[in-house]
Amino acid sequence: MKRFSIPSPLSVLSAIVIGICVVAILWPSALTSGDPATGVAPEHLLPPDSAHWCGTDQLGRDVLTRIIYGARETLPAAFVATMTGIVLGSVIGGFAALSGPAVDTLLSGVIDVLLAIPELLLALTVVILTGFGPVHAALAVGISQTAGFARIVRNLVRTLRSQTYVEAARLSGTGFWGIVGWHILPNTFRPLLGMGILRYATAILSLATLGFLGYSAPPPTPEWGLMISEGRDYLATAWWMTTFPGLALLTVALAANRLSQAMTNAGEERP
Amino acid sequence: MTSPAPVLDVNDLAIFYGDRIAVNGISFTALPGKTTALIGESGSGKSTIAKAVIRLLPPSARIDRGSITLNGQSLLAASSRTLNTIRGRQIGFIPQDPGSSLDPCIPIGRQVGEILRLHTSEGRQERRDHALTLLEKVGLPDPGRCFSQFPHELSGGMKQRVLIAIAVALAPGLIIADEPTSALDVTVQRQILDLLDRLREENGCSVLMITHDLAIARDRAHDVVVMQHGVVAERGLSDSLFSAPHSPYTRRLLRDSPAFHPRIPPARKVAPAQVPALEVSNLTITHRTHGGRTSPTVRNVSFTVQRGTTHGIIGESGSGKTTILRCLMGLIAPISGSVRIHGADAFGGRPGDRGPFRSMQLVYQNPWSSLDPRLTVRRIIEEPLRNHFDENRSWRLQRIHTLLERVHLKPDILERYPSDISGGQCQRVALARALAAEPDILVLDEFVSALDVTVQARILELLTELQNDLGLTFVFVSHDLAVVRQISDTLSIIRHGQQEEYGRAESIFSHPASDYTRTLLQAIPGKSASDCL
Repeated sequence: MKRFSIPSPLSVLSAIVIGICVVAILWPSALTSGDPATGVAPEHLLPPDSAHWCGTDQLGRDVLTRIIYGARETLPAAFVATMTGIVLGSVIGGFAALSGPAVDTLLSGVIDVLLAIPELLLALTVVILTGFGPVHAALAVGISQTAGFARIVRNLVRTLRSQTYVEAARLSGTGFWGIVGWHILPNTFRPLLGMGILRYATAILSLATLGFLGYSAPPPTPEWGLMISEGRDYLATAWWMTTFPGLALLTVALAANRLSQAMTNAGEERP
Repeated sequence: MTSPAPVLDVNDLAIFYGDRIAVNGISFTALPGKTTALIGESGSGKSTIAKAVIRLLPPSARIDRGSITLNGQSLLAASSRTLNTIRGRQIGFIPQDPGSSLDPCIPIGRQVGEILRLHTSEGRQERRDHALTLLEKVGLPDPGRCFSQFPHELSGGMKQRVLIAIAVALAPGLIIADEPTSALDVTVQRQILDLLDRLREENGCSVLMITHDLAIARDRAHDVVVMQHGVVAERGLSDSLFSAPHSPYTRRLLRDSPAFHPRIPPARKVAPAQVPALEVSNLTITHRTHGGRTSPTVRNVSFTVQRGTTHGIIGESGSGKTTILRCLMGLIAPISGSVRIHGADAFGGRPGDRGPFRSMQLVYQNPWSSLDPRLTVRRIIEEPLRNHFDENRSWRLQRIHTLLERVHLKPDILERYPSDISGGQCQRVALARALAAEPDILVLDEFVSALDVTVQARILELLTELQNDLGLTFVFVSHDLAVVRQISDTLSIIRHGQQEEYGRAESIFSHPASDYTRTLLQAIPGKSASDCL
């Protein structure tokens, strides 16, 4: 069997979308010459045309420029959120799966309770308790995702623990940490990566929601959720102010989702 | 010879998977009232032919040329609507794995009734009666109870009977049986094959049996088609083909098949050691059920294995042989009795102490699942070397090369992953890993059961060679009597957790003391013909 297979066109497209996002985060000026914060007052609320591909907002700022600069606000925050979720979730889930039945039952109970609370509600609670701002919002979303990751990691590690090759390793003298390091961690990596990318897409949406509600970055930050929130007031007259940031959000979320599927499939190809 | 018109006529059939040819110019016929066996090893294309006949090939497969004719009607030209009326009514199909071939949430009766509902105009009550008759016909003990039971409440053999009932429900002219018994115990296998024979005689239908087991083909088939790499290696009447095979491939298959092997008593010079390698006495193991009660799974098992010999543990599924093996490896502790390894009590130390078990290694049944898919072969073999020997990297690498040579593998395999190598190679890697810890005793759990006969024969040769060279002691756990017969010095027959018989292999095979052993021996396919005990 081939170790690497040719990716499907959709996966390539998704990778390109993510690539553009990375460029937008690192060098936004490479994609646009405008300034996201300063507007040209006479040019306010212009519909999309050849000069302003996505139109302008109520202050005459170019929407496309703001979307490009917004990637820098939204996407790294979502990354921080997902990483928080993965790290906390792996620690809790891994600990539950590798310790005795009593600890496992206790931690599983806690995970179940956390899973029962809607994620957004949990994120809102955390962000209200810790204070507003982009970093707090990202951590709040991360914490709200922890339970999901913990559940996945726990079940994954438990399954791996009962695999024949793990037993074979035990019989050939490998100790507890050797088994964790040699067999369990490498085998959890790929499913966790696929799951992480999937959750990255939801983290973008959750962060946008928090931004929309005003718990994240304050205006005039070009955060995507905030842009949608601001555009809401002009929905009837300037549809482009909400539509294009929304489309950007949707595209990145779909691309991340698609990539996660591709990775999971690649993982399953190996027996 | 005036032969009746064939039920199934396959002519010059060629099937591709993408660019790879899976079946190349196959022709054969299946006559009414006869069993035709398609024999071949995995990858020979035999299952592809079966799927082509019922027109259920996966979308990636393409029929390139040839014809399939059923009772004069071309199946390749038939529309999907016509095919739906042919499947079930004119062709019955018995799948390989009874465990996954029944819908787990529909009662048996309804699953049998479904085919009647689709193909007949019978009313609800008629269908019920018909299904009950069918269940009775295939020899299910209590058809009325079975009718409302769910698949998980039945044993593997019973499920296979239900599937046969579905296949023969409308007395089709052709029954395709795809490895019908490979998932079943040998005694059950015999009953199922007897049933198939009986139904074939009653209905006068033709049976197309796909199997890798030459012994079954020899016992049951009239016509035999031997396939290799998608082409027919040999074709002929069963009697003449087995007594005088023409093609070298058939000859090799026959030579490698353990069922046709005479038992060659292992010629080895066993020094009468003072202390036996392994001594098991009155071993009783219990396991906890859900209610917290304990029930014994293994009771009073005792055996002694001398250094440099092979002890076979034989039992059907659920007999407790795996439990014994796990106890030998120190994975579970016995409730009473003792395991002595080279005279030292293995469970004498503190619980969880792996020290006494250091000289024993286990090799598993499934070649793929016992090797970590994320590690290369080198890292797999290196693992025990790291654990047991405090040496540097170059020493380990050299040792790995020595071990690979021992199991006859080429060094270019080192950087490959288990999924990239064949089953036989995987078992060799598993063997090399076990040998890396320098054990005296190897416990082999159904070691060759998942392999093709030719590969199996090579691996068994390797085992004998290792035993002679390194003076290893083997405990060989298997359900396959034909294999165990070839290599064991002493035997334990386990049934329902109890030792039915224990003694020297020759004496057990020539004078079985218990009824169960006798049943087991009679159930080995191919035995009557080879007559080599």
